[in-house]
Amino acid sequence: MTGGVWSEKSDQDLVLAFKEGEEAAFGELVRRYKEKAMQLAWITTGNYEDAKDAAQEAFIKVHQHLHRFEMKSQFMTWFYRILMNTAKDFIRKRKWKRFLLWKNTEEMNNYFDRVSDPSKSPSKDLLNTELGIKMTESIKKLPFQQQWIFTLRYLKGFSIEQIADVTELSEGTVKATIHFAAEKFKKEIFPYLQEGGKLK
Amino acid sequence: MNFEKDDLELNEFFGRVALRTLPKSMLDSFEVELFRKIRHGSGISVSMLLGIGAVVLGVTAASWMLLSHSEEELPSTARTTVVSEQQRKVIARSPVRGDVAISHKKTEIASPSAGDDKATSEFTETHKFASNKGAEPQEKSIVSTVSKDLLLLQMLGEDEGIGEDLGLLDSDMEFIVKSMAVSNPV
Repeated sequence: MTGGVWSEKSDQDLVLAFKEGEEAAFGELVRRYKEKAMQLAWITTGNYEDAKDAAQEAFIKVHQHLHRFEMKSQFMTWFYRILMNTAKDFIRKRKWKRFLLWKNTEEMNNYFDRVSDPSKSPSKDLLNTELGIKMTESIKKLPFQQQWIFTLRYLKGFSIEQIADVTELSEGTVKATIHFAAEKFKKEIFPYLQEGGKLK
Repeated sequence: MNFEKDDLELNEFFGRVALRTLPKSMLDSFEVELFRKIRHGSGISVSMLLGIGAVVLGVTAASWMLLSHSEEELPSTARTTVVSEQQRKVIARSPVRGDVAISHKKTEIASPSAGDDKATSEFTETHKFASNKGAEPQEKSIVSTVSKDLLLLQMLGEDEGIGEDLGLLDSDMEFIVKSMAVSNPV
């Protein structure tokens, strides 16, 4: 089966195909999720190099365990759960890794490519670097769980139910976590928005 | 807590935000590297590195213990050779080295007919010990080492702990002390 044909398949079909021995189906899952995985890991780890390592480690775990995935949940939420746990472990081990391997990583100071400042011209999509950096810093300051839930919700558009599935928390806990994270985020961002802005 | 209000505001706000897209070259190399890792293993991880370190330490410690143990089983000639390097430095500074050597040589040529039971006994033991190795040169080597040990003990006033300090085994010390009685009947 060619790459083009695989790209038309659903995640579920790809998982089934992989279980039947089609290694290429896994390749399609990687192509489908690699950038999202890198972006999420990047927000957590704060640099490209570590994000790449964490995302690759998550894919390796998926490859090792996919044959046991029972498809009771979506592949996407299952994958993000693995990615989240891997990133968490990665951060925990990172200090030692840097110490042992003398590994320098390039810190990233802005996760955002485009941030429209609502206080300026709402009709124009202005690239606001300063606001982007401030937002990045605000997200970095959140505790790990809040960071992930906040990011999944507002940067990846996950539903509360999907986030609950990824984090294995109740929907009520997810909502409460989002609320606490939102409060902190708004408090940080507020000084950068003018009176007319939505977030106060 | 007003989750719905927060959620609506933030959704609206983040609707104007886009995460940075990653360069295609980076994503391509990500994929290549990932499949290489899957195929050949992910290389040396930190835990593996720590594991290897622990194994190396363990092997080193075990080797050291084995060597220490096997050293006890080595013939006395070998043992005294090990410690004699340290002793030699002391002896080299000693102006009485020749005297001791001569003194010991006298002991060596003493015979059971000398009339001194103790000296005869000691000499026999010395000889027996050396004969375990069979050859004559080995016997001479032992006697020579003993003379150095003897000198050292004399210089340091037969301190009880000196043998341990020098890494001498109890059997070495016993042997040396007995030899002292032969060469210095005082």
